[in-house]
Parts: sequence; C-alpha cells; structure tokens
Amino acid sequence: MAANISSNPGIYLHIPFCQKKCPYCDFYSVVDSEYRDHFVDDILKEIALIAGSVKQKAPFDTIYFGGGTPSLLTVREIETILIALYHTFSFSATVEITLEANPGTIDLPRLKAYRQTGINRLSLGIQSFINRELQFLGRIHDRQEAIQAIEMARQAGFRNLSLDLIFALPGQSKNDWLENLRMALSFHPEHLSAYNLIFEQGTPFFNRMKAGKIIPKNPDDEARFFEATVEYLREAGFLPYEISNYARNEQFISRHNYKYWTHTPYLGLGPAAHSYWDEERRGNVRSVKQYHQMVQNRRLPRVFSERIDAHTREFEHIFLGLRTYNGIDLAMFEQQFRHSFLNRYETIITPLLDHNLAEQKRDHFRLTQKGLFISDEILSQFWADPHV
Amino acid sequence: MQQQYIRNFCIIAHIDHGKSTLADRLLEQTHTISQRELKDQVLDDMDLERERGITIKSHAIRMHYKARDGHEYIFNLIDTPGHVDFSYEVSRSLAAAEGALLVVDAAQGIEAQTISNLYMAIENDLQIIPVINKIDLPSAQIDVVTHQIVELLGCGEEEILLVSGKTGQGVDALLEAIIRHIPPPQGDPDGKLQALIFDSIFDPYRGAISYIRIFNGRLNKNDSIRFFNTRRSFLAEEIGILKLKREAVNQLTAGEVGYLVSGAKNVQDTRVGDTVTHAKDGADQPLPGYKEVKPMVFSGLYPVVTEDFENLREALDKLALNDSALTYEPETSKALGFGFRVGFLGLLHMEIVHERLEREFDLSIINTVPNVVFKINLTNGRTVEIDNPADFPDPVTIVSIEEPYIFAQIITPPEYIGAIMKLSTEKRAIFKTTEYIDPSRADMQFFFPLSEVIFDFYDKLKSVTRGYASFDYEFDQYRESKMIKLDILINGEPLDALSTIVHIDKAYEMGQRLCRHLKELIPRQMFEVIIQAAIGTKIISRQTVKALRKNVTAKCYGGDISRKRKLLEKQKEGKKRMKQVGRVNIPQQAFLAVLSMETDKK
Repeated sequence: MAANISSNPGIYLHIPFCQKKCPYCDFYSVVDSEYRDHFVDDILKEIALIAGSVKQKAPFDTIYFGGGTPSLLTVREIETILIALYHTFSFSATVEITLEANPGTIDLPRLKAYRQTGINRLSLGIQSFINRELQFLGRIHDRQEAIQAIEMARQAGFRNLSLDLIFALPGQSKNDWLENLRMALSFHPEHLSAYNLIFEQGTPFFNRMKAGKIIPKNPDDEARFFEATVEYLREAGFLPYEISNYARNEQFISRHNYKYWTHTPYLGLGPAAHSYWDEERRGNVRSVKQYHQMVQNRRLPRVFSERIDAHTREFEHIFLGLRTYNGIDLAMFEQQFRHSFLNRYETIITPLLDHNLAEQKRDHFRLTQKGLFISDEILSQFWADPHV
Repeated sequence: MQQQYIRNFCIIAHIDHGKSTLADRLLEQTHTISQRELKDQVLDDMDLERERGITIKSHAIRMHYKARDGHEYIFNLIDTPGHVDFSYEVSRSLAAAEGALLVVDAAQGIEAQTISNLYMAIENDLQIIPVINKIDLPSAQIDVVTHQIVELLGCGEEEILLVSGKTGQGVDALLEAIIRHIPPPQGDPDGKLQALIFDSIFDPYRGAISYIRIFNGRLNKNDSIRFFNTRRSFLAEEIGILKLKREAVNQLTAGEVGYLVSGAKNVQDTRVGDTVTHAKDGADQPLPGYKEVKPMVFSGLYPVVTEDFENLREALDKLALNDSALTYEPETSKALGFGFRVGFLGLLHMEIVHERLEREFDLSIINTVPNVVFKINLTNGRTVEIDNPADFPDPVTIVSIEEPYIFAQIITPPEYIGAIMKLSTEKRAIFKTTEYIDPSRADMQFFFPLSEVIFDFYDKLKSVTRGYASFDYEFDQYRESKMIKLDILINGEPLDALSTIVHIDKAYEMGQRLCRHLKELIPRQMFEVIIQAAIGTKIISRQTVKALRKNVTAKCYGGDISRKRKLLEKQKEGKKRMKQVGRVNIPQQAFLAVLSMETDKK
C-alpha cells in the first residue's frame, strides 16, 4: 500500500463565494457577488490565457476545488470547468479530485451528482458537532446538518471523506474537544484536518480579540489540546502526517495538499489563487471584480510573482518539509542542494536532537510531536540571511 | 575692552525651575536674539538634551546691555549643566564667572541640587543674586520661598528679585541688578596669559573648540599657546566671542569670555578646567582647581552582533572626541565576546552614551551591570582596584575590601523624613545630620555607598517622597565593607556579564530578586532555561523559564507559503536583538536586570 504522495503537479481552483462569511476565516471570499454568474466563464478564460505558457513535464494528478465555498458551484459548473481542464492539460488516469463542501449547502442528489462528475474526495467543513461552538464560529450549519452531511456523503458514494475540525476555541473544554473528535471518528472518515483556531489579522475575530472581547486560549493550553488530539487520533489508528492533518493510513494522505509541503509544482486558478510553477511563486488578484475585468480583457490576473532562488528554495524546502511526518529526505536534499543537510545545519540540529525535538529515522530527519508544536520557533532558525 | 563694563555670570537652578526660559528672556531683552529666532530653550542644542529637558553641556553667550546709567555693558551668561553626574563641569563654569543668579521656582522652592551648586558658587567667591522665578504661576508661594532663601543666604528679603521668565516681568530690574551687584572682572590685562577652559566641544570641521575665560593677559589670534595640564602646545588658529553664533575676533583680553580653536583634534587635549597660556613667556602657574574627571561607574558595553565590535570601537572613539569623561578599554567576556569596559561619571552619563551609540551609530548594544571601583586588600600586602566583577580575586586571598562612599544631601518636606531614613538604612547609608532650612524643608545629609546609589536609589527616593525630595552627591572617601561576588548561572554556566559585587547582607535577597526578575525578562524558548544565583559554589536561588510549548502555524497551504516564509524570516531578525549565550537567547534588557528590578515587586 503506497503512500498517496506524488511528484506530479496539481491544480487548485479558488471558488471565492460564500453564503455568509465566517468571522475567523481569512481566505478570500465574497457574499452576493454580481460576478458570481460570470465566474465559470472567467475561469475558462483564465485557463485559455495560461494554456500556452504552461509546459507540462508530467500530467496533473490532482484537482482541488477550495474556497470560499466550492459547494456553491452547481454540478453543471463543475462539469464545465473539469471539461475545460481536460481539454487543455494532460492528466493522470488516477487524478484525485477534491471538493470542499459546506454542510449547510448540500443535499443527497447534489452530492450524488458531484460524485458523477468525477469528484472522488470530499472535504466537509464540519468544524464542530457542538451547536454552541458552531454559532460562535458563525457557521451556517448546526450539529444535525453536520451529521446528515456526512451520512449523505457516504450514501452518495464518497469513499475518501475528510472532515475539518477546529479546536482551542475560547471557553472550549478538553472534553468538548474530545467529544468532537469522538463524533468525527464515529463516521470512520478517511482523513481529518484539525486546526488550532488562529486569530488571523483582518478577520472580525482578530478585531474582537484586539478589543478584548474574545480572549484566546493561552499557548500552554493550546499545546495540551494539540497533544490530546495527536494522542487520541493515534490511538484510533490515524497517522498524523502534517501539523494539522491526519489520515486513516498513508493511502489517504491528501495528495494535493502534500504537494505544498514537498515543493511540488501546482497551478492556482481563480481570484486570490496561488501557483508554484517554473520556480516561481505567483498570486492572482484578490478581487472578483478585477479578476473578471482582467481575464475578460485577456490579461493574466496575476499580481504577484516571486522567483525562488536556490537559497530561498532551500529554506522553503526545509520549513515545509519539516511540517510533515516524513520530514526531510536526506539523500534527496543532498541531491537537490549539493550539500548535506546534517552538516550544513549541524549547530541548529544538534540541540534539537539532544532535546528530543527532532529525530533521525533512517534517511529522514523530522521533528517530533514536541518539536512540531514549537515548529515556528525551530524553523525560523534555518533562515540564513544570504547577505551576511 | 574695559573690564568695568563686563559682567560674567551663571544661573544656578534646579531642573524645571525655568533657567532656560529666563535665559531666553535675557537674550531677548538685550536684543541678542529676536523673538523670531527664539526657539524654545536656545541654549540646549543636542537632541537628547531637548528630550530629557536637561542641559548636559554648558555653553556661553554674550549680550550687550545699554544700562540706565547710559553705559553699554557686556554680559557673558555662562550656562551650567544641570545634573549631578556633571558637577565638575558645573564647578568650572562657576569658576569662569564673578556672579550667579540663584533661580528658584516660586512654586517648588529650593531643591538639593540648587543648594549644592550654590555652595559651589560661594566656594568660588561668586556674588549671588537671589531670584524667585515663575511668580506668574497660580501656585506660586512667594512668601514661603522668600523665607527659604533668606534662611539659606542670610540675605535681606528686599535683595530677592521677583521675576517671571514667561511673561518677562521683573527682567529689567534683574538686568540692572546684575550690573549693581556682580563685580566686574579684576584681572590684569597686561599680565601673563591665563585663560580657563570651562567647556570643550568637538566640531567635526574644526576639531576641539574650547570655551574660555581670560583671567589675565591677552590672547591674540595666531599666538602660540600651551595647555598647562596636558602640556600640549597649539596655535590659536581662531579666537572669538560667543553670540548666537561664533564671531571671530583678533584679540581677547582679561575679563572676557570667548572661544578658542587651536587645532586640537579632540576634547581630551582641551580638558575642562585646564589653563591656557602662551607657549613662550607664559604664566608660571595654572589657574587653581584643575581636576581630572574620574569616572565613578563602570560597565561593559558589548555589541549584540559580534561583528559590530570594530564599529563599536569607532563609535566610542567618536563620542570620546566630544566627551573627555568617557574612558574605555577593550575587554573580553566569556558570554558576550569582545567589548569594552567603559567608565562613566554616573548612571545618567551611562544612559546617554548607550542611547547615543544606538541612535547615532545604529548599534545594538548590551550594557552590563554597572559597578563602582572596589579596592581590595590582598593577603600578599598588595591592593588591587577592580572595576569589573570578573576580576574579583579568589576570596581566600582577600583581607578586606573598600568601596567608595559619597556624601549625599537630600532636601525634602519633613513628612518624608521617616521614609527617607528607612530607605537610607536599606541602602546602608551612614546618617550625618538633618537640618531645617525652614519649617517646610529639611536638609538631610548622609554618607552612602556609591554602589547602592547607582542601583535604583534615585527612583526609589522619588517614589517614597512622591517626587518632592531632591538629591545631590559628591565623592567622599573609600570605606571598608563586606562585599562578595554574586554570580548568575544560566543552565549551569556562569554568565560573567551578570555578575555583581554586593554587600554580604544583601547578597541573598539580591540573588533571589535577580533570578525572579530575569525569569520575567528571558522569553520562553525551545528548551527550559534555569537561572541560578550563586555565591562561590553555593546556589542561593533558582528559577526556571519553562520551555516554550506551542508556537506553530496551523495552516500552511498554497497561498500561505510566501507569507509564512517572510514571517519566519522576520522572526529570525527579531532574535538578532538578543544575545545568544550557549543555547539561550537573552534579550538586551536582561543584562541590566539589576537596574530594572524594582518593577518586580514580591
């Protein structure tokens, strides 16, 4: 049973529409947009615009509809997009197609139809099974709808189901959280994402925190939630394969998301979508209106691009790789960067190993669970200012 | 220039008693400066001085005043620095004058600093004109302050002038009083040249510029001159008088105040208090009162970034051009690497130097715990002076230790006498006397160990007296004390830069407080940090900074990567402000923990 990890490129589509904005979320999305009806046409335009410049070395093997709320797209719209992609690029026969869905936006027939389009992985934004918490998070669904969504997903034939949960909410007890985990596991999902609530700058939650109206949990408590999560899911047989992600087994690792952490190229389509392609990080305009205008005028909707030099790439490789259970493949590292990871970073690594914050397993260097919890503290050390 | 039409004087005042405003008013009324040119407090021109509201270095300015007797007089107002750290410079400014205006705030009354400067002025035989300033204030207590002054000077009430620097009220009368009461200079214009350097500044284009007062003889442009104490000879390249700007002249004669550009490259060669005479046929004796200013407080200065050592040296070289009191020599710390042991006049001087290094030279500096110079008598009969705890000898070789004491004067409303006595006892002071200046002011005198005064004494005094007490001191003598070295260990390793020499009775409490405070200052990091205080091999206190348990970005997907990378880079930059000692990152302020301990109440 091979791990669901590949070095083929992937495609990400950002669907920037929501029925209602959640106050903690900092992903780009809009409500009631006049550009909603043009959206699929705009995406097709963008696909056509980039088609010529995308030289594929290998077929794409993932398509990921993220958001926003991708489940606001109709089945027809999804079909249209997929067809355009298939016509334009080459894909592997076993392409993994993920759709993020909001439990408050779906019903059984719709899920069945989604499944028919070829979507083979569903990621449900459950967040919590406790109504009080769902309300606090500003979600449009309740516990009952969350449960129904999962059951319907199964009935619709989704064999690769992921559930998103959020923990360390203010006032949440450890038991509340473990109860959420227990509920989630009762549906035997193939994959779980468990996110520590973050107060992202610019979100209503952030402002409320600054105003003293929400008091976040202290980091020590958050660490305890983190530990409890890992422990609980491990015991249930799950593999913690990234800081916030758990798979029933290696086969159910999110093939698409894993690309982000292994420097594998991906193309991002839609407003605010990012790409990593030809050693460049690129970003699309964070506005549905401008996105629409640009693609309609046959202009690339790109507003950000950054060439990743060898030095930066090495740092990225390290800080992304060390988020994962595989850590850094030492042989691959040496082959790519022409020096030994262990030698180059010895002064950083030795104390990490001494204090059980990292470990070396066979040909891999990785952070331990304890190390992962303080990974920002650890990873920043690997940045060496190239000008010094 | 006829000396009978010259008046040289200073202003003695406590900080905030309106010295600068009054000086501005004098300049304005004598048409030395127009209203338009009048920036607030013209005489203070360094940024830092402005911010701190104090005059660090003295300056002088010449005014022409047409008096009621029909004659035109020349007034030289010699400004004085306003902080105890710079008391020698004050004394030389006073020595350059024949009279002083004693300026007292009508609402605040007399303060310790005023009194000590007043005594200094009296010692220099200056004629004193008492002035009550700020009489326009609603809170003015003219009667009370008048009484204080009468008690202090033994003058008549009618001799006291009432003025307001703000409104200009009484300033005319003051100008006339200066002529009437302050004697003209008495030097011999035909005698051998003796000129007192009462201040020296460094100008990047001209080198050292000395402010001088000619006591005897004449100084001509291009004369060959000699400085008595540094024994160096120069040429009087340019001489002149001090108006709002420097104005070159060809001759300065006895009684005049002016400046001298001699080609000296730095103020070490043109020391305050030194006497200038002619290289040939010069005076036999210097003017009295020269003292080499000795630093009282020593501290290590280290660059946070090791590579900045040479930059720090250059910066200190540059500061020293303008600051003859600054001494420094390279030293090495096990924990901090290469740096300098720097001598300061006092804590304010230390803070100013630190701030200038960071601000003007863009350096990140670690300032280690300041200490005084101890004299240690050894079993082999020798005495060593140490200015660095790292040099503290093996205790078994020590017979006795002497530490510097100061004579301190505290002026306070009587209700705080009890609190001051208590504080002074805590600070190991020897009480001398308490005298009442008047029913509302007591003059308390003590001998303090200087080492106690440099740590938080001033702030504590302010807090126990709600700011009403004022404090002044001068070096007294060395006295024997039971001192020991207190070490701080970080994860079991002594951090030499945090060692202090403390009195045996205080070591235990100090160790505990220091550990507690360091625990607050050192951020949690990847590993547990154990902070211990030790005397010799005996651990007397221990605190733990628990390991950081959580610092992680939960989400990192396609669009987050560039942003996340930049955040990590920034985080690393932030760490650069800290000094890595072994595996522990220690923030700059932790090295001065001893000074900020008061915020950490039990």
